[in-house]
Amino acid sequence: MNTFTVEDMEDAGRLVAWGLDGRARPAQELEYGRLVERFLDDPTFREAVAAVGRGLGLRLLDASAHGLVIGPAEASPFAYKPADFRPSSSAADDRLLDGLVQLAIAATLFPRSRDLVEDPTFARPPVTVEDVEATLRSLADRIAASQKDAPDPVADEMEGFYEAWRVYRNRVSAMETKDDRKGQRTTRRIIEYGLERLREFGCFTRAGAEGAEPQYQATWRYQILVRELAATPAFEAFQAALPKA
Amino acid sequence: MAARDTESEAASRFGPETSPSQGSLFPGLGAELPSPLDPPRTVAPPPPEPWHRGLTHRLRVLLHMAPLHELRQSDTRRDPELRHYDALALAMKVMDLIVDSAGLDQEVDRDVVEKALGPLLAAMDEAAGLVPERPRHSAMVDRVLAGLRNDSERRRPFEVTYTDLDGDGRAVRRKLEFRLVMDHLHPAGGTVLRLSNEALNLYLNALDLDIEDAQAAAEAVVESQLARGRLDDAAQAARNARWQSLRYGEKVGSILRDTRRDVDSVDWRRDVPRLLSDALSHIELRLAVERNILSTADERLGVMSPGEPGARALAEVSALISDCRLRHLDLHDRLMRSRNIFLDEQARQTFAWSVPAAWPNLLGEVLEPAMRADQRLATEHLEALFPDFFGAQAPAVPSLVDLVGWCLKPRRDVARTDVAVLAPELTTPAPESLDGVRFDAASVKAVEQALATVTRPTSLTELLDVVGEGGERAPLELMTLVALQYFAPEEDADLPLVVRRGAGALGTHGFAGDELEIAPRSRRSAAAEAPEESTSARGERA
Repeated sequence: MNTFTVEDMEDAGRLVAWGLDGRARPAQELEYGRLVERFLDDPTFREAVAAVGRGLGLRLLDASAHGLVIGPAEASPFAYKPADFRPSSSAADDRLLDGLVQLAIAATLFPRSRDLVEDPTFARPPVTVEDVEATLRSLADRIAASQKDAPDPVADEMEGFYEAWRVYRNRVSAMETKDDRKGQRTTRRIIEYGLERLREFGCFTRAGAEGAEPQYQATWRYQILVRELAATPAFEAFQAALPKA
Repeated sequence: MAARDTESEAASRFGPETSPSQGSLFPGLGAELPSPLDPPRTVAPPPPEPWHRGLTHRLRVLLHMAPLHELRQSDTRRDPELRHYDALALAMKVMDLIVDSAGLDQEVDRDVVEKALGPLLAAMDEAAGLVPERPRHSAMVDRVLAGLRNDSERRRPFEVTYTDLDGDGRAVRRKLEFRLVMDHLHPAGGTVLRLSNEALNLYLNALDLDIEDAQAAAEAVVESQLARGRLDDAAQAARNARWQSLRYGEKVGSILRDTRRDVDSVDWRRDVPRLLSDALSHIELRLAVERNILSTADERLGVMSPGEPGARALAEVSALISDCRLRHLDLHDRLMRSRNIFLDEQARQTFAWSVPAAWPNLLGEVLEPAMRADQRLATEHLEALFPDFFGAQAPAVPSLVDLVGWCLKPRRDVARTDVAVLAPELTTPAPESLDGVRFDAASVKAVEQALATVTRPTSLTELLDVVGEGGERAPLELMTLVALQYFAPEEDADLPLVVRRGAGALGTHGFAGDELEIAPRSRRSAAAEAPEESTSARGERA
């Protein structure tokens, strides 16, 4: 049984606090850098950090010179709630589309399963709003084409089976507005919103020339999150949800 | 022969040659500017040859296949019940049988042939919807053997006539005689079938070509072109050959790369060892061929004088092939070490964090089912996944102290119109001294020194006092500009200092605006520096 000093516990807590700030970089913050280094070097300290994390309902996913990536354990107070994502709307369609967009961003970044195996320090090619839109739109069109001869969905919304792709397909990708702003309810705007929120959490950085379409570059943190946290549960959930053919 | 080829090729392209010393390689190059003052050449220019021996040679080889084509054409002329058999395929099998057992104690005779062809004939019967019958098979075997032995001419050699051009350029009809299959007396009694030398060469060498092998073809072309001195074309062909080498290197490289990533993703028990040994023998063959080409090229390079225009092309070919060869040697080296890579990686990966056997395909296995799922179900699952994409986030905890502070914050005084704004004097700096045009080195140094002393939060006013001691204007301006630059740095810029809004107002040395506070960057400084006030101090001259 290891014994931890009070200083160890304080350092551990401090490292967890840094890890919760997705935009902090060990290279820029002296203390963060020192703590991550200690985490990587010192197994005892690693245990202390893991214990603190467990107690808070956190899962330590990975640590490197890029920082510490922490994911929420189940029902953790640190989990990001969908309601926080878009406080302005709680319409069922919007919630679905926001979720689909998050999934599509990950799928656009990692289109093949072997992409997930690759070293996360390898910077994946940046994505644009257009790329994500193309992923979703082409998939929706393809499903629509395969369902061409199937009967139309049942009219009664509460009873019937209404597939998610129909919701996406019914949303326009762009819309003309009176004052030339982007239509808030278009799919492109939803995708941009999703990418911007991820950026706020240090999952993406934005690049690209002024005026050109911004390129979103996934960070190491996001790649770890998708790989370690999101990919497998997402797969399990939707394989189970597949309509029995 | 090579020399004659060269002459005829080059001569037909460039005209009569004038220089015997260059005759073997570039006979035509001097032809453009023949000087009447040149001493008479000892060798008269040979007449342009429209034909050369190499063509005759190839033509003769090709003609040896005539009996085989004849067999194939006879397919449609045979008795109706034998027309569905492919005589050429059967003939190939017969030749293969004979080659297989030539000179051994069990040689092939007609019965063996019939037995061996049985399954083939039966398969052809079946394809034609017929019931296999032994007498019909026997008749077909006889036809095939007859075609190969020239039974119709009482087993005399095949005779083929063709046109050749003799040394004087006259067309001559020539007759080629050869056999393909012959009966031989076997020491144990009876007769056996043997192939003639022509047939053996045809079957084992000519027909055994890997005719689709692009690299072999490319190299054969280089060899041929080198032999004829067509060097510009040869250089292009060598470039193609190098391209093939590169592609080949990538193929083997990717296997080793996959192995490094995941030993299990590559079958090291059967597939890869076979592939590696194939690659190894391929490379060894290529190395031999390339060595041959190189030595040919070097030999030719040796006889050419450096000034010759063709020498450059030949040197380029030589360099290209050398590069090709180096790539093969490099690959050879990697192949020789590959088994160790496998063993090392196996040792490393066995004890490493294990990759789950299969990663999901996010596009096809997750996003698509999600879009096919019912809206409500999909929403439910997607919302459960939401936190996973964002990671853990510190929940915001309300702080009464902060709230009170925020509520009590005095209203920001923005209007400050009493500062006279002078129109700036616009000058065009001399382009060669753009850097120093506004601020000289002394000013820059003064500002840098002042900033170096900042170890605690310091107001801009204090810093301006420090740099303004000399009474000069430029350091003051530079100081304010640097402070403004640090106040709103470019994204991701890693600056040693942070600048935030300080208490009070700036009103010294002719500058007016919000006071700024300069402090060394510390932990939390990034977080603490919330961009709540977006307007910066205005450094306007009073």
